[in-house]
Amino acid sequence: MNYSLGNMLGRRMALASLDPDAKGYIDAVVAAGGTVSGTQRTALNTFYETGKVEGWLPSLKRLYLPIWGVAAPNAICMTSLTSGTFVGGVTHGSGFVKGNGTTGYFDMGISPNTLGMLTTSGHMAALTKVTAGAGARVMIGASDALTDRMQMYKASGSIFSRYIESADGQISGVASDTGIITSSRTPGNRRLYRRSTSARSLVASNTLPDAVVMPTRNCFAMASSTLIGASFFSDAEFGAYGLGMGMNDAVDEAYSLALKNLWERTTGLTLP
Amino acid sequence: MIGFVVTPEQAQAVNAAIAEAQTSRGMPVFWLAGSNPIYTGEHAGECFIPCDDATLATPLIGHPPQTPQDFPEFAVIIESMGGLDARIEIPAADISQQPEPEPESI
Repeated sequence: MNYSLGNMLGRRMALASLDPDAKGYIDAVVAAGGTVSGTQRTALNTFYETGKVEGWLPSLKRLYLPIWGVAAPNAICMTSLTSGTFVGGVTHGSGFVKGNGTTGYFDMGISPNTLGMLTTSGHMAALTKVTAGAGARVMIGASDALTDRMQMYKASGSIFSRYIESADGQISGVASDTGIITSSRTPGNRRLYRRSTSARSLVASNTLPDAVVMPTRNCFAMASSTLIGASFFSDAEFGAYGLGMGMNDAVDEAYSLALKNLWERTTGLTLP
Repeated sequence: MIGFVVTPEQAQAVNAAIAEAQTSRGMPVFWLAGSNPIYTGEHAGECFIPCDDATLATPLIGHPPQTPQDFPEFAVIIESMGGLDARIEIPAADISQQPEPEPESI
């Protein structure tokens, strides 16, 4: 009896003290058919509160947590509460989504340019649970032309990041595409990181000058927008993906750790 | 890959109808069957709308989740393409032309 009462009071207090942004996202997920447990509510609340305390939450323009096993809640952005669109063959699993590698992808419904991302400031992130197959497989990407590309992808045992430049500005390194891959652009600097369950490492970086313009085509996950539509489809399992403004090393580290904690606590799974 | 081979205009109309089924219920467009240009093979120049069993069973919305087949509009859309029996198999390579050089090769 005492235990039950304590439990009820604890749950009510937890619900009453939810961060308003966490509550907004949870309400949207539930309205779309997602089931959010008490543990998941707490994890989501911690993520938003941590992001505000550490200062990286306002940098996130779009972030999706497609763990709910249903398309509608999986399509909801955690920061804007807008919905993107799943297109083609996409599996909605428990804790992840997976494109079929030939037709399936996620259209965020907005371009990096419209989001206000800058040639000198941008960030991409993807949490990959299971690696993609052979070939060039884009995690997240938008492309207007060969010199206006913002893409993070896996190919030939390496991971790559392009941020608004041609091959000169592409950075890459031999690394698995599993874990949390983040790519950040700040003035005069590009960096590509991988966080696994046990460590975070800098995969590649360079300091080439800033260039050209931001893509005006929509940003996709599990593929890249291109002049003929979606291309470079991925068949990896993704637990999260998003983009926003540039982050320095410390901020990127804090954000990717918070994303790891969020995904692990909401899914009960362990980051590869 | 199994799905419908249609004209580009039909593909556009099909996806517009799927979008309308969502917006008419006050929902955002969170799911589309999509369509892919066919570049090579017997049906080059036409469009492919993927429609395998997994697509038909996609959990879309609600708890328990509704699938495309739970929406009455979906049956009408499928019929407009000749019904499920009109689906055909095409090789994935027929829709896989890349618009740019392989990323790692440039």
